[in-house]
Amino acid sequence: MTDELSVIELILGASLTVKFVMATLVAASVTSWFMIVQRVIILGRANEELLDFEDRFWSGMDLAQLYREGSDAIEEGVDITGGEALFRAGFKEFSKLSRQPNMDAEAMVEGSRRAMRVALMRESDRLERHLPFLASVGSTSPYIGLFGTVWGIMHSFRGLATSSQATLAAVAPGISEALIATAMGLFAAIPAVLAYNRFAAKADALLNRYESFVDEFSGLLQRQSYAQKRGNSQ
Amino acid sequence: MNSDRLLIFGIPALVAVLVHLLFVFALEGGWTTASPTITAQPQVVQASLVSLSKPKPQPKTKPKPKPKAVEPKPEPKPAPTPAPQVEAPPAEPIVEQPESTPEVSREERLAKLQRELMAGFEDLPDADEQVPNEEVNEVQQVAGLMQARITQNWRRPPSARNGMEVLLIISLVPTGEVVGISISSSSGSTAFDRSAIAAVERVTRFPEVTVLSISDFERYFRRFPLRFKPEDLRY
Repeated sequence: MTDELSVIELILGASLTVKFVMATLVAASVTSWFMIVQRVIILGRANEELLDFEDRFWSGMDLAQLYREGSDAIEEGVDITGGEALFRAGFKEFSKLSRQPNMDAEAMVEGSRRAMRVALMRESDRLERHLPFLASVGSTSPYIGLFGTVWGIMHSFRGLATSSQATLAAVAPGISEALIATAMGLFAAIPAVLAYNRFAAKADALLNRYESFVDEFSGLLQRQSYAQKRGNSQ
Repeated sequence: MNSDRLLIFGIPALVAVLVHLLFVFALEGGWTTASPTITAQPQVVQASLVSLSKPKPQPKTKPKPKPKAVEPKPEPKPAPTPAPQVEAPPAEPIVEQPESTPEVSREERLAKLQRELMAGFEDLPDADEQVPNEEVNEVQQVAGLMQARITQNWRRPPSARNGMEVLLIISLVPTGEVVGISISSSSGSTAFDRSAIAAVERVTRFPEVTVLSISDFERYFRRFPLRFKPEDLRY
């Protein structure tokens, strides 16, 4: 195997600029794969958590009880995210406001809704983190690779101009070496673009479900606050 | 939350590195196996004469490596396909009566010739660049030996010209015997075609193929095309 052009040899023989381009692309590719796998785990988990939490929430269980269970879990060191975090933010605010004397029902619901919106923002931040990086890798790494290729080809043709014998063998290794940069750029870009599209859609769907949960929950709180108010006034 | 952190950072890092290692590995290993066009190449044994690399002082001498002279080569590399083109300019017009060489000087000329031939092979760094892997390497080596054998036995008619090309289909049996020769595409010159057929008939047997496994033989040498193409002529 010594007499064939190995890819590794080609890479090692590349000029400094091309090497730098290749190193950038490898780093981008590794990082984007890292983020892809991380997103898969986080989004998959968020989906499961939401399904699980919705089951518990609509099981008819006492909401105060649900809140207490969450508090216990936090004490054990479990991170609460997703739908349950929204619920806790809303419920906490609502119970705080309801303890205030002469509280308007409308203001109570509005306050808890605001708290949930803040939690929702935090969730959307968590779900969509790193997605811009994937988008950048997807859109720029082909260009970076192309730059490396053009640079490499430029140099191999310049070498051709100075050599007395213009043979294909004089330029072919240089071009082959330069083309590796484009291949690397595409190798980094394709998974990144695919992953970005998929994860953006997935995160969007999850956030929509969170939002509808917020609406449902504030409807529930509204009903309860009016019932409470009526009870107080009678 | 140590285990959680490990899950969120460790697994992605591991997978990312693994994906790239796997890719590099596949590239290194599969770079060659994934190119069937290269493996197909040795099927065409180019019987173009390997000409000498240096201009000869005596224009009359005909490079005519005898089996005796070529056999001692330790490991005849698969004769390079680009060789004739590369060395075309200094080549001699071989059509000038080859048999007229004086017998006395032949021995030392052959020795010198062999050295030059070897040097010519060494000078071709790109010659076996396309050898893809071990199996094909072996096949190509056999093809090279067969090519050398045919080349030695090829007496070209004076009417041979550059650009002439005849493609024969040769059938072998696993012991190396030639059992069939047919013209796949003629050069247009009957004499040239006949000289090509005669070259194969003169060989009668290719003992080289017996070293190959039967599957390699079936794949590459049961029926294979053989191209005769003089490119080293001056006219």
